[in-house]
Amino acid sequence: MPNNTIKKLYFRISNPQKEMGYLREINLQNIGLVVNAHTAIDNPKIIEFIRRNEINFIIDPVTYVFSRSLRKLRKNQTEFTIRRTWDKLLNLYGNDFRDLVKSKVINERDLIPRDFLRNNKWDSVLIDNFVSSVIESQKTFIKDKLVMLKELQKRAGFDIPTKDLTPDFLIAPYFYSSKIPDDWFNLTVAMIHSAIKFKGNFNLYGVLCISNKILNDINLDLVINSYRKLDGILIWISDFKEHKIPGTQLAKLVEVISKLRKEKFKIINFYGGYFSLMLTNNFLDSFVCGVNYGESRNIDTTPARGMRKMVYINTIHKHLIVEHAPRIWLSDSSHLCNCKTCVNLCNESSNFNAYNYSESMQKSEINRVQHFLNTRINELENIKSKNLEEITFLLADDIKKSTNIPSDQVIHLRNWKKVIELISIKNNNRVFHN
Amino acid sequence: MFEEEMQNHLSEYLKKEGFEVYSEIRFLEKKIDLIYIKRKQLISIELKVQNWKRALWQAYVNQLFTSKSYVCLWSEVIKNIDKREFEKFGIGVLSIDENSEIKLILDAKTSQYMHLDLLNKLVGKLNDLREN
Repeated sequence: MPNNTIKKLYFRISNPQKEMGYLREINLQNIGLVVNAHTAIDNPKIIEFIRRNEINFIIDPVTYVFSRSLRKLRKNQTEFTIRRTWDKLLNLYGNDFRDLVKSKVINERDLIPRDFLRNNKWDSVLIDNFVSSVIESQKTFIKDKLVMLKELQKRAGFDIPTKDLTPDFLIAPYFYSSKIPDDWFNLTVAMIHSAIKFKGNFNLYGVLCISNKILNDINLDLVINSYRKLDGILIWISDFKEHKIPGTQLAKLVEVISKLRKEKFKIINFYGGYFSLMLTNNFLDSFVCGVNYGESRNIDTTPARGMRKMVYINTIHKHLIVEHAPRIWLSDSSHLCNCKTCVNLCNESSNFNAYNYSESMQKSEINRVQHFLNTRINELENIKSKNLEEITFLLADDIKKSTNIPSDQVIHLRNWKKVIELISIKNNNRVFHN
Repeated sequence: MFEEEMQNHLSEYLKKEGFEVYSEIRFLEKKIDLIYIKRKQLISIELKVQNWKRALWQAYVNQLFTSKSYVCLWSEVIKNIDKREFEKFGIGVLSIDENSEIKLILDAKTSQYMHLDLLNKLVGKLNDLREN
């Protein structure tokens, strides 16, 4: 039977080899994982990890990739062969769709919504074939591997009881829209309607994957009507950086979420950070952030390997370049963290001080990531059952603690506080200003 | 005036004053615009034509490995800065105008946040630069 319950926080795995190691020490009881479909195919260890720990999970079908430049799927720019991972995913998504994409790659053309038309109508055979494959692959993500595992165990002469784990919900295929409606939006809606036929007992979510430029004048009525039969909506606003975005944009996001929620949709921010976390009691049902600090995502950016080393500063709820962080820790020890990882670091050292702490964080990626994961879980726990007024008090506290940091680096805290105060007033909650 | 011109003028000025000057030093994950040595102490300067807040943050980080930390801004920008922010963190401010005239707006305080390992690393880096 499908799970159909959701967690308030999901961590997205983008680099399984590394990130699974980080997750091993983390208490994932109240957390779920988002696994990208193409990542999952090549990493059976994720399946074993989820199965063994009975972790809640969802599979991101990442179908938007095929609506962007197909050059990215190629092994290199001089060859027309598709990279192995994407090739495997295409095989999973049905012969018709695979052949369509491959023909475009060979002809050096990108996919366009018109490719899904037949006699000026959506090609229901092509769409149904693709959608059923995408949906089925999510349903059987663990199950298929379990059959193999059980077979292996049988041959080896032992049998471990294996629970048949299913995703928390299914995600309909989705594409990126630079305005609503555009052809990609209409195609996404056609795919949603098709997906409803194949969802079975599972809850089905759609993704609202849009440009950050259209947030202010988004046609929400159209979205609501088009997504009406879904159980929930995952919102992905491309390149929406909660730390940098103006307060008006953040307020607009909250307004969009409220309106969608009034229509009884469950709402999840597909890429979010601490601002999203603060909304989980009152507006959002859940949010997703990367294991290794992905709190926003541009539609066309692939997470880079070997990028700058960052560390999460818990008091300002923001990642900083690791070499910059010691200046904050050295100026005021209240910025030092007391998560499980950091307490262990402190206990391991006979002469613990901010210098040693800085060094450990700089040298060890596992410390930095586990510190972030533990802190994020603690942040969620701290915010639990707090109303908007209490959340503004928490932010006021954070701002007070940050007087020893240049205001430019903590401007987001003031921004967030203003937005939360504003929506709190709108919700008729009385807010006491500090 | 561009950052590069500002850097050249300031660097020339400091050299004429008899200081040992290094520019564009890649250190850790950043680039320090200028470092000069005065009475065996390292002093850093971050230059910016416009974005004084960014310069403030860079100078704030420089306090980890230099005794004094300054920002040098285009003279037209000086009227926009929040001087209290610089005073609060002990960061000095210099200005430079179209005639290349350099003025001291605010003196820097000695850093309380020096990280000895980082200082040693930076000294090593400067020694390498000197030898090359």
